[in-house]
Amino acid sequence: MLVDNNVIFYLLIVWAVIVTILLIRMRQKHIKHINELRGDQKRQAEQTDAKEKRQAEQTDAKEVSEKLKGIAKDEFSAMITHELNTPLVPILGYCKMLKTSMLGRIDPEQLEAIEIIEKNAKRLEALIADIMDVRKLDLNKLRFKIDDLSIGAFFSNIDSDYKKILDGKKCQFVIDPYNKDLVIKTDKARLRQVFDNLISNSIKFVPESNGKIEIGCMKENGNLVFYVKDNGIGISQDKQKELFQKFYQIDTSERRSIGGTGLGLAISKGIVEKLGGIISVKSDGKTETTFYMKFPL
Amino acid sequence: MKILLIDDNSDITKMLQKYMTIKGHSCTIANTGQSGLDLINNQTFDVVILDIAMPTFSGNDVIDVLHKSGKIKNQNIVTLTASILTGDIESVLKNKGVHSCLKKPIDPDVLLDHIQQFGNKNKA
Repeated sequence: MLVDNNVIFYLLIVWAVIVTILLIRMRQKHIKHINELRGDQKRQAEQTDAKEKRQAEQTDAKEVSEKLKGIAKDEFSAMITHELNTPLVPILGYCKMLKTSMLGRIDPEQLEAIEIIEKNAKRLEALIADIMDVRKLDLNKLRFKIDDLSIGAFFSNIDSDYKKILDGKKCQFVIDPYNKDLVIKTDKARLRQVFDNLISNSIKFVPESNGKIEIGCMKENGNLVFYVKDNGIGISQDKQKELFQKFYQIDTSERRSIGGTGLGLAISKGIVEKLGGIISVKSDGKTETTFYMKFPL
Repeated sequence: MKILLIDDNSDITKMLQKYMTIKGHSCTIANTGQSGLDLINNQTFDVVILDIAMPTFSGNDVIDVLHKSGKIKNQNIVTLTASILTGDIESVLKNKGVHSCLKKPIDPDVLLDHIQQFGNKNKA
Protein backbone atom coordinates (compact mmCIF):
# COMPACT_ATOMS: atom_id res chain seq x y z
CA MET A 1 0.00 0.00 0.00
CA LEU A 2 1.34 3.17 -1.10
CA VAL A 3 1.17 5.92 1.43
CA ASP A 4 1.97 9.36 0.45
CA ASN A 5 5.17 10.57 2.13
CA ASN A 6 3.46 13.86 2.74
CA VAL A 7 0.68 12.21 4.73
CA ILE A 8 3.22 10.49 7.00
CA PHE A 9 5.03 13.74 7.43
CA TYR A 10 1.82 15.54 8.42
CA LEU A 11 0.80 12.72 10.80
CA LEU A 12 4.22 12.96 12.45
CA ILE A 13 3.83 16.68 12.90
CA VAL A 14 0.32 16.28 14.41
CA TRP A 15 1.65 13.60 16.77
CA ALA A 16 4.58 15.78 17.75
CA VAL A 17 2.23 18.67 18.46
CA ILE A 18 -0.07 16.47 20.60
CA VAL A 19 2.88 15.09 22.56
CA THR A 20 4.27 18.60 23.09
CA ILE A 21 0.90 19.84 24.35
CA LEU A 22 0.61 16.86 26.71
CA LEU A 23 4.15 17.43 27.95
CA ILE A 24 3.51 21.11 28.55
CA ARG A 25 0.32 20.28 30.47
CA MET A 26 2.11 17.70 32.58
CA ARG A 27 4.86 20.16 33.34
CA GLN A 28 2.35 22.81 34.32
CA LYS A 29 0.64 20.35 36.66
CA HIS A 30 3.99 19.42 38.10
CA ILE A 31 4.95 23.05 38.69
CA LYS A 32 1.60 23.69 40.32
CA HIS A 33 2.07 20.72 42.58
CA ILE A 34 5.56 21.81 43.53
CA ASN A 35 4.32 25.30 44.23
CA GLU A 36 1.59 23.92 46.41
CA LEU A 37 4.11 21.90 48.32
CA ARG A 38 6.37 24.90 48.66
CA GLY A 39 3.39 26.96 49.84
CA ASP A 40 2.61 24.39 52.45
CA GLN A 41 6.20 24.44 53.63
CA LYS A 42 6.17 28.22 53.69
CA ARG A 43 2.92 28.29 55.63
CA GLN A 44 4.31 25.72 58.00
CA ALA A 45 7.42 27.84 58.42
CA GLU A 46 5.28 30.90 58.97
CA GLN A 47 3.22 29.06 61.50
CA THR A 48 6.33 27.95 63.32
CA ASP A 49 7.64 31.51 63.25
CA ALA A 50 4.38 32.83 64.60
CA LYS A 51 4.37 30.19 67.29
CA GLU A 52 7.87 31.11 68.33
CA LYS A 53 6.94 34.76 68.23
CA ARG A 54 3.90 34.08 70.35
CA GLN A 55 5.99 32.20 72.84
CA ALA A 56 8.46 35.07 72.92
CA GLU A 57 5.64 37.53 73.37
CA GLN A 58 4.15 35.47 76.13
CA THR A 59 7.28 35.89 78.19
CA ASP A 60 6.46 39.56 78.70
CA ALA A 61 2.75 39.21 78.00
CA LYS A 62 1.88 40.39 81.46
CA GLU A 63 3.81 43.59 81.00
CA VAL A 64 2.23 44.23 77.59
CA SER A 65 -1.28 43.54 78.82
CA GLU A 66 -0.74 45.88 81.74
CA LYS A 67 0.42 48.55 79.30
CA LEU A 68 -2.56 47.97 77.02
CA LYS A 69 -4.90 48.14 79.98
CA GLY A 70 -3.35 51.48 80.85
CA ILE A 71 -3.81 52.79 77.31
CA ALA A 72 -7.39 51.52 77.15
CA LYS A 73 -8.19 53.12 80.50
CA ASP A 74 -6.54 56.31 79.31
CA GLU A 75 -8.51 56.43 76.07
CA PHE A 76 -11.67 55.56 77.93
CA SER A 77 -11.10 58.41 80.38
CA ALA A 78 -10.36 60.85 77.56
CA MET A 79 -13.48 59.80 75.67
CA ILE A 80 -15.75 59.94 78.71
CA THR A 81 -14.45 63.38 79.72
CA HIS A 82 -15.00 64.64 76.20
CA GLU A 83 -18.51 63.23 75.90
CA LEU A 84 -19.60 64.44 79.34
CA ASN A 85 -18.06 67.89 79.12
CA THR A 86 -19.21 68.79 75.61
CA PRO A 87 -22.97 69.11 76.34
CA LEU A 88 -22.15 71.37 79.29
CA VAL A 89 -20.72 74.03 76.96
CA PRO A 90 -24.04 75.14 75.40
CA ILE A 91 -25.98 74.50 78.65
CA LEU A 92 -23.73 76.77 80.73
CA GLY A 93 -23.28 79.23 77.86
CA TYR A 94 -27.00 79.77 77.35
CA CYS A 95 -27.56 79.96 81.13
CA LYS A 96 -25.07 82.80 81.22
CA MET A 97 -26.70 84.60 78.30
CA LEU A 98 -30.22 84.18 79.68
CA LYS A 99 -29.14 85.20 83.17
CA THR A 100 -27.51 88.41 81.98
CA SER A 101 -30.57 89.27 79.82
CA MET A 102 -28.51 89.00 76.65
CA LEU A 103 -31.40 87.18 74.98
CA GLY A 104 -34.10 89.50 76.29
CA ARG A 105 -35.39 90.56 79.65
CA ILE A 106 -36.41 87.78 82.06
CA ASP A 107 -38.59 87.94 85.16
CA PRO A 108 -37.41 86.86 88.66
CA GLU A 109 -39.13 83.48 88.45
CA GLN A 110 -37.39 82.67 85.17
CA LEU A 111 -34.10 83.89 86.63
CA GLU A 112 -34.50 81.52 89.57
CA ALA A 113 -35.15 78.61 87.19
CA ILE A 114 -32.08 79.45 85.12
CA GLU A 115 -29.92 79.75 88.22
CA ILE A 116 -31.04 76.30 89.35
CA ILE A 117 -30.17 74.85 85.92
CA GLU A 118 -26.78 76.57 86.05
CA LYS A 119 -26.04 75.44 89.61
CA ASN A 120 -26.77 71.83 88.70
CA ALA A 121 -24.79 71.96 85.47
CA LYS A 122 -21.84 73.28 87.49
CA ARG A 123 -22.30 70.43 89.94
CA LEU A 124 -22.06 68.00 87.04
CA GLU A 125 -18.93 69.78 85.86
CA ALA A 126 -17.35 69.40 89.31
CA LEU A 127 -18.39 65.75 89.47
CA ILE A 128 -16.77 65.00 86.09
CA ALA A 129 -13.59 66.75 87.26
CA ASP A 130 -13.62 64.65 90.47
CA ILE A 131 -14.12 61.39 88.58
CA MET A 132 -11.25 62.29 86.27
CA ASP A 133 -9.00 63.12 89.22
CA VAL A 134 -9.76 59.72 90.75
CA ARG A 135 -8.91 57.97 87.48
CA LYS A 136 -5.74 60.00 87.07
CA LEU A 137 -4.71 59.14 90.62
CA ASP A 138 -5.39 55.44 89.88
CA LEU A 139 -3.31 55.60 86.70
CA ASN A 140 -0.64 57.65 88.43
CA LYS A 141 -1.17 60.44 85.90
CA LEU A 142 -2.23 63.30 88.11
CA ARG A 143 0.25 66.08 87.44
CA PHE A 144 1.75 68.26 90.11
CA LYS A 145 3.38 71.64 89.79
CA ILE A 146 5.68 72.15 92.73
CA ASP A 147 6.40 75.78 93.48
CA ASP A 148 7.00 78.19 96.36
CA LEU A 149 3.90 78.63 98.46
CA SER A 150 3.55 81.50 100.88
CA ILE A 151 1.47 80.32 103.84
CA GLY A 152 0.22 83.85 104.51
CA ALA A 153 -1.04 84.39 100.95
CA PHE A 154 -2.49 80.89 100.76
CA PHE A 155 -4.69 81.36 103.83
CA SER A 156 -5.66 84.92 103.03
CA ASN A 157 -6.99 83.71 99.63
CA ILE A 158 -9.03 81.01 101.35
CA ASP A 159 -10.26 83.60 103.85
CA SER A 160 -11.57 86.01 101.22
CA ASP A 161 -13.14 83.25 99.08
CA TYR A 162 -14.99 81.60 101.97
CA LYS A 163 -16.04 84.87 103.60
CA LYS A 164 -18.19 85.39 100.50
CA ILE A 165 -19.59 81.83 100.54
CA LEU A 166 -20.33 81.86 104.27
CA ASP A 167 -21.78 85.35 104.15
CA GLY A 168 -25.25 85.30 105.70
CA LYS A 169 -24.72 81.90 107.36
CA LYS A 170 -24.34 81.68 111.07
CA CYS A 171 -20.93 80.08 110.89
CA GLN A 172 -17.67 81.31 112.36
CA PHE A 173 -14.65 80.96 110.12
CA VAL A 174 -11.37 81.10 112.02
CA ILE A 175 -7.97 81.02 110.37
CA ASP A 176 -4.64 80.58 112.15
CA PRO A 177 -1.82 80.57 109.59
CA TYR A 178 0.82 79.92 112.33
CA ASN A 179 3.52 81.86 110.46
CA LYS A 180 2.50 84.11 107.59
CA ASP A 181 6.07 84.47 106.37
CA LEU A 182 6.65 80.77 106.03
CA VAL A 183 7.29 79.59 102.46
CA ILE A 184 7.06 75.90 101.58
CA LYS A 185 7.48 73.88 98.38
CA THR A 186 4.24 72.30 97.25
CA ASP A 187 1.53 72.32 94.57
CA LYS A 188 -0.56 75.34 95.48
CA ALA A 189 -3.63 74.43 93.39
CA ARG A 190 -3.74 70.82 94.59
CA LEU A 191 -3.31 71.77 98.25
CA ARG A 192 -6.11 74.28 97.78
CA GLN A 193 -8.22 71.51 96.23
CA VAL A 194 -7.74 69.46 99.42
CA PHE A 195 -8.73 72.42 101.61
CA ASP A 196 -11.78 73.08 99.39
CA ASN A 197 -12.89 69.47 99.77
CA LEU A 198 -12.47 69.51 103.54
CA ILE A 199 -14.01 72.95 104.10
CA SER A 200 -17.03 72.17 101.89
CA ASN A 201 -17.52 68.97 103.90
CA SER A 202 -17.39 70.96 107.12
CA ILE A 203 -19.92 73.48 105.78
CA LYS A 204 -22.31 70.59 105.08
CA PHE A 205 -22.10 69.22 108.62
CA VAL A 206 -21.86 72.23 110.96
CA PRO A 207 -25.04 73.13 112.86
CA GLU A 208 -27.24 75.77 111.26
CA SER A 209 -26.64 78.18 114.08
CA ASN A 210 -23.35 78.46 116.01
CA GLY A 211 -21.37 76.63 113.34
CA LYS A 212 -17.61 76.95 113.63
CA ILE A 213 -14.88 76.02 111.17
CA GLU A 214 -11.23 76.47 112.10
CA ILE A 215 -8.40 76.06 109.61
CA GLY A 216 -4.70 76.69 109.75
CA CYS A 217 -1.35 75.04 110.28
CA MET A 218 1.12 74.33 113.06
CA LYS A 219 4.60 72.95 113.54
CA GLU A 220 4.88 69.57 115.23
CA ASN A 221 8.01 67.38 115.56
CA GLY A 222 9.62 68.74 112.42
CA ASN A 223 6.41 68.45 110.45
CA LEU A 224 4.09 71.12 109.16
CA VAL A 225 0.54 70.08 110.00
CA PHE A 226 -2.42 71.68 108.22
CA TYR A 227 -5.83 71.20 109.76
CA VAL A 228 -9.52 71.74 109.12
CA LYS A 229 -11.69 71.49 112.22
CA ASP A 230 -15.45 71.82 112.56
CA ASN A 231 -18.12 71.48 115.25
CA GLY A 232 -20.33 69.30 113.06
CA ILE A 233 -21.91 65.94 113.84
CA GLY A 234 -18.59 64.11 114.28
CA ILE A 235 -17.50 60.80 112.82
CA SER A 236 -17.63 57.56 114.82
CA GLN A 237 -14.48 55.45 115.25
CA ASP A 238 -15.54 52.62 112.91
CA LYS A 239 -16.58 55.02 110.16
CA GLN A 240 -13.28 56.88 110.34
CA LYS A 241 -11.46 53.89 108.84
CA GLU A 242 -13.63 53.76 105.72
CA LEU A 243 -13.84 57.49 105.28
CA PHE A 244 -11.12 57.82 102.65
CA GLN A 245 -12.49 55.12 100.37
CA LYS A 246 -13.94 56.06 97.00
CA PHE A 247 -17.66 56.79 96.86
CA TYR A 248 -17.88 56.43 100.61
CA GLN A 249 -20.75 58.27 102.23
CA ILE A 250 -21.37 57.95 105.93
CA ASP A 251 -25.11 58.04 105.46
CA THR A 252 -25.92 55.84 102.50
CA SER A 253 -29.67 55.86 103.03
CA GLU A 254 -31.80 57.20 100.23
CA ARG A 255 -33.10 59.86 102.55
CA ARG A 256 -29.69 61.30 103.27
CA SER A 257 -29.83 65.04 103.24
CA ILE A 258 -26.17 65.70 102.58
CA GLY A 259 -25.12 65.73 98.93
CA GLY A 260 -21.70 65.10 97.46
CA THR A 261 -19.99 62.54 95.31
CA GLY A 262 -18.13 60.69 98.02
CA LEU A 263 -14.95 61.26 96.05
CA GLY A 264 -13.61 64.35 97.78
CA LEU A 265 -11.85 62.57 100.63
CA ALA A 266 -10.43 59.81 98.40
CA ILE A 267 -8.99 62.49 96.10
CA SER A 268 -7.70 64.50 99.06
CA LYS A 269 -5.94 61.43 100.45
CA GLY A 270 -4.41 60.70 97.02
CA ILE A 271 -3.18 64.27 96.61
CA VAL A 272 -1.74 64.59 100.12
CA GLU A 273 0.14 61.29 99.69
CA LYS A 274 1.50 62.30 96.27
CA LEU A 275 2.71 65.53 97.85
CA GLY A 276 4.60 63.45 100.41
CA GLY A 277 2.22 63.85 103.32
CA ILE A 278 -0.22 61.88 105.44
CA ILE A 279 -3.88 62.68 105.94
CA SER A 280 -5.72 61.60 109.08
CA VAL A 281 -8.92 62.31 110.95
CA LYS A 282 -9.74 62.73 114.62
CA SER A 283 -13.25 62.94 115.99
CA ASP A 284 -15.11 62.40 119.22
CA GLY A 285 -17.95 60.94 117.16
CA LYS A 286 -20.42 63.54 118.42
CA THR A 287 -19.58 67.18 118.20
CA GLU A 288 -16.35 67.77 116.38
CA THR A 289 -14.07 66.52 113.61
CA THR A 290 -10.55 67.53 112.67
CA PHE A 291 -8.69 66.53 109.52
CA TYR A 292 -4.89 66.72 109.65
CA MET A 293 -2.46 66.86 106.74
CA LYS A 294 1.07 66.27 107.91
CA PHE A 295 4.05 67.19 105.69
CA PRO A 296 7.70 66.82 106.67
CA LEU A 297 9.44 70.20 106.68
CA MET B 1 -12.82 91.70 66.47
CA LYS B 2 -12.97 89.16 63.65
CA ILE B 3 -13.30 85.67 65.09
CA LEU B 4 -13.36 82.28 63.37
CA LEU B 5 -14.91 79.46 65.36
CA ILE B 6 -14.17 75.90 64.23
CA ASP B 7 -16.14 73.21 66.06
CA ASP B 8 -18.17 70.24 64.81
CA ASN B 9 -20.78 70.73 67.54
CA SER B 10 -23.32 73.13 66.02
CA ASP B 11 -25.00 73.85 69.39
CA ILE B 12 -21.68 75.19 70.66
CA THR B 13 -20.91 77.26 67.54
CA LYS B 14 -24.45 78.67 67.46
CA MET B 15 -24.29 79.66 71.13
CA LEU B 16 -20.83 81.23 70.94
CA GLN B 17 -21.62 83.00 67.66
CA LYS B 18 -24.70 84.55 69.26
CA TYR B 19 -22.71 85.54 72.34
CA MET B 20 -19.83 87.08 70.39
CA THR B 21 -22.20 88.90 68.01
CA ILE B 22 -24.17 90.45 70.89
CA LYS B 23 -20.84 91.52 72.41
CA GLY B 24 -20.09 93.34 69.15
CA HIS B 25 -17.70 90.96 67.40
CA SER B 26 -17.90 89.32 64.01
CA CYS B 27 -17.92 85.54 64.39
CA THR B 28 -17.64 83.19 61.41
CA ILE B 29 -18.47 79.52 61.91
CA ALA B 30 -16.95 76.39 60.39
CA ASN B 31 -18.38 73.03 61.45
CA THR B 32 -15.57 70.93 59.93
CA GLY B 33 -11.80 71.18 60.15
CA GLN B 34 -11.44 71.34 56.37
CA SER B 35 -13.91 74.20 55.88
CA GLY B 36 -12.20 76.05 58.72
CA LEU B 37 -8.82 75.59 57.08
CA ASP B 38 -10.21 76.89 53.76
CA LEU B 39 -11.47 80.02 55.53
CA ILE B 40 -8.10 80.61 57.24
CA ASN B 41 -6.35 80.26 53.87
CA ASN B 42 -8.61 82.83 52.22
CA GLN B 43 -9.31 85.38 54.93
CA THR B 44 -7.64 87.01 57.90
CA PHE B 45 -9.03 86.62 61.40
CA ASP B 46 -7.92 88.30 64.62
CA VAL B 47 -8.27 84.96 66.33
CA VAL B 48 -9.28 81.40 65.50
CA ILE B 49 -10.99 79.34 68.22
CA LEU B 50 -10.32 75.75 67.27
CA ASP B 51 -11.86 72.54 68.62
CA ILE B 52 -9.42 69.63 68.69
CA ALA B 53 -11.59 66.50 68.56
CA MET B 54 -13.45 66.64 65.23
CA PRO B 55 -14.19 63.73 62.86
CA THR B 56 -12.26 63.22 59.57
CA PHE B 57 -10.16 66.38 59.79
CA SER B 58 -9.34 67.24 63.38
CA GLY B 59 -8.07 70.41 64.99
CA ASN B 60 -4.63 68.76 65.14
CA ASP B 61 -4.78 68.27 61.35
CA VAL B 62 -5.65 71.96 60.87
CA ILE B 63 -2.67 72.94 63.05
CA ASP B 64 -0.33 70.55 61.22
CA VAL B 65 -1.25 71.98 57.82
CA LEU B 66 -0.88 75.58 59.03
CA HIS B 67 2.39 74.70 60.75
CA LYS B 68 3.86 73.09 57.61
CA SER B 69 2.82 75.98 55.36
CA GLY B 70 4.18 78.48 57.90
CA LYS B 71 0.85 80.27 57.93
CA ILE B 72 0.44 79.65 61.65
CA LYS B 73 3.02 82.40 62.31
CA ASN B 74 0.49 85.01 61.16
CA GLN B 75 -2.60 83.52 62.76
CA ASN B 76 -3.57 83.65 66.43
CA ILE B 77 -5.02 80.28 67.39
CA VAL B 78 -6.64 79.30 70.67
CA THR B 79 -7.60 75.65 71.04
CA LEU B 80 -10.68 74.63 72.96
CA THR B 81 -11.11 71.01 73.97
CA ALA B 82 -13.31 68.93 76.23
CA SER B 83 -10.75 66.12 76.47
CA ILE B 84 -8.11 65.74 79.12
CA LEU B 85 -5.25 67.90 77.95
CA THR B 86 -1.99 66.65 79.35
CA GLY B 87 1.00 68.93 79.66
CA ASP B 88 2.71 66.98 76.86
CA ILE B 89 -0.04 67.61 74.31
CA GLU B 90 -0.25 71.25 75.33
CA SER B 91 3.47 71.82 74.82
CA VAL B 92 3.36 70.07 71.42
CA LEU B 93 0.52 72.35 70.31
CA LYS B 94 2.31 75.44 71.61
CA ASN B 95 5.55 74.43 69.90
CA LYS B 96 3.64 74.30 66.63
CA GLY B 97 2.50 77.88 67.14
CA VAL B 98 -0.78 77.64 69.04
CA HIS B 99 -1.14 80.63 71.38
CA SER B 100 -3.08 78.99 74.21
CA CYS B 101 -5.08 75.89 75.09
CA LEU B 102 -8.42 76.29 76.85
CA LYS B 103 -10.69 73.70 78.40
CA LYS B 104 -14.38 73.02 77.82
CA PRO B 105 -16.77 73.77 79.38
CA ILE B 106 -15.77 77.42 79.38
CA ASP B 107 -17.69 80.44 80.55
CA PRO B 108 -18.19 82.61 77.42
CA ASP B 109 -17.17 85.65 79.51
CA VAL B 110 -13.86 83.98 80.34
CA LEU B 111 -13.32 83.01 76.70
CA LEU B 112 -14.01 86.55 75.49
CA ASP B 113 -11.73 88.01 78.19
CA HIS B 114 -9.00 85.69 77.02
CA ILE B 115 -9.27 86.50 73.32
CA GLN B 116 -9.65 90.28 73.80
CA GLN B 117 -5.83 90.43 73.76
CA PHE B 118 -5.89 89.68 70.03
CA GLY B 119 -8.20 92.58 69.15
CA ASN B 120 -6.61 95.05 66.73
CA LYS B 121 -3.25 93.46 67.32
CA ASN B 122 -1.19 91.37 64.98
CA LYS B 123 0.49 88.22 66.14
CA ALA B 124 3.74 89.03 67.90
